[in-house]
Amino acid sequence: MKLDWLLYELRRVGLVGLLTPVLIILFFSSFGLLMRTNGVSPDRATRAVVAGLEIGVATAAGLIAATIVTSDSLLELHLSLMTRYRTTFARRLALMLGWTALVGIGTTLVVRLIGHELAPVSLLAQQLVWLAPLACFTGVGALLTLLLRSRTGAAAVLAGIWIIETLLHESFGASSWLHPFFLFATTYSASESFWLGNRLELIALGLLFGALSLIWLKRNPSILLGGEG
Amino acid sequence: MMHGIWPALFGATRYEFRMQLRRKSIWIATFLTSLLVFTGLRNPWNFRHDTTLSVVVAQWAVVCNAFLPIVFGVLLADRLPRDRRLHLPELLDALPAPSGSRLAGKYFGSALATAMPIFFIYFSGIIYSAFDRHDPVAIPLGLAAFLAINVPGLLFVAAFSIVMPAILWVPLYQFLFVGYWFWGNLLGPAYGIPTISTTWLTPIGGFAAAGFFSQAGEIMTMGGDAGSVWQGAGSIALLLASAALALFIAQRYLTWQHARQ
Repeated sequence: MKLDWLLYELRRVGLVGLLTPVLIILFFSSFGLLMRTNGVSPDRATRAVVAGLEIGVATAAGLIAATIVTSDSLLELHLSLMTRYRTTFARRLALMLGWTALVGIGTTLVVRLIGHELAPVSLLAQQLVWLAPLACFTGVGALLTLLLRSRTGAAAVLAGIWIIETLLHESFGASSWLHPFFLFATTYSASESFWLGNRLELIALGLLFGALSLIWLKRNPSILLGGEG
Repeated sequence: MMHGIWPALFGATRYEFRMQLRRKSIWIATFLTSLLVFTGLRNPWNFRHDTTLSVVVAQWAVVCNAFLPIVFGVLLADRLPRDRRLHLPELLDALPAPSGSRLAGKYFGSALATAMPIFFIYFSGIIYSAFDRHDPVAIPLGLAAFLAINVPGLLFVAAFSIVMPAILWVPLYQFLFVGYWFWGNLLGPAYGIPTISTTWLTPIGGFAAAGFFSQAGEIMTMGGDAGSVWQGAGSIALLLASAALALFIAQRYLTWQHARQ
């Protein structure tokens, strides 16, 4: 069966892996509900859901991407098989991205159904709220793991990026040269004119980093052997 | 085998320290994140010369402790899973070294090594203060502040980062840890969300900084009249006791898990 790999990879990801983005969005949404019951305006409460998608789910995807690049304990054996490792890696990445995308789309639809908006744009453009940071974090996570040859090192740098972008969000919003790298623009600057450009630039960066990772794995498939783990 | 406890502990500590210190990613990730620390407004070079040296040192220690432990905790999260992945427990269990000593050695060795880049970043600010103020007292004062403010927080973070991945998937733990850091340290009670920030259990070390070196109003994230010497000592004791408890429970859990196999 051609899709045997899908069932195998789904079992490998396991319930914890699949539930992670769902739990994150539920956690942030419960904060939004808590804020609403405390009398906070619907717009501000909805920003908790935006933060869940943009800061929570996307960052978790980056951490997972950094992990799955090297998470095969039989990597050495895998490198000797017909199916190339970069194919397996691309499948795992696609599976993770596909599942996270479903969670993102579902969240935007639910928010619309209950009468709120994640951003002041059309429903289709609202998908960029999660898609842009997801693409960028995933690409950066994969590339960092190859660069550092360490998934934990990559996760630490991602955590650093997360902190820097969150705490210095005002600088990222105010400096035009930082706009292409502003991962959390919807949470902090949703109504700014640079928002759409920022989203497209982040997706381009993510695609670039993802492509570089795959090319690197193609040219040097044994790069992950003997790394820091 | 009581006589094997200390040699196993020192041996494991030395080995883990050397292994962790050689990881390039520890240095790269910590120094990259330190860019955030250096952009702050409470660094030694941002204070006027009439500010008391102990306040400058305490502020710098808290600033370093507010951000760098995030990278520190994430970097330590793979230590136990790495052993499992390489099937090391099966090999090491065949040796006479007690598993408790090995876990403690892993804890002290890897925590000490991962704290080295943080110490260098912190100490660069202390050396700057010593030269800038022509006051060599900054060096011993800086070392004392690091021991009182940074080390308890780092030991607290290290304990949970080493033991929690025994039961949690590593990326999930890393995500939860960074989220916890924002919630439990940087998010003040004024936001309206219940938080343990500004309590004794805050590893940033605000109570130790205010109690031993400064005053609450001068320390980031601290406020009000909190920050006596006793509160500082209580905070340090609580952080260290929590770390010891986490390690103890983890040791019992790992032993139970081993007995089930």
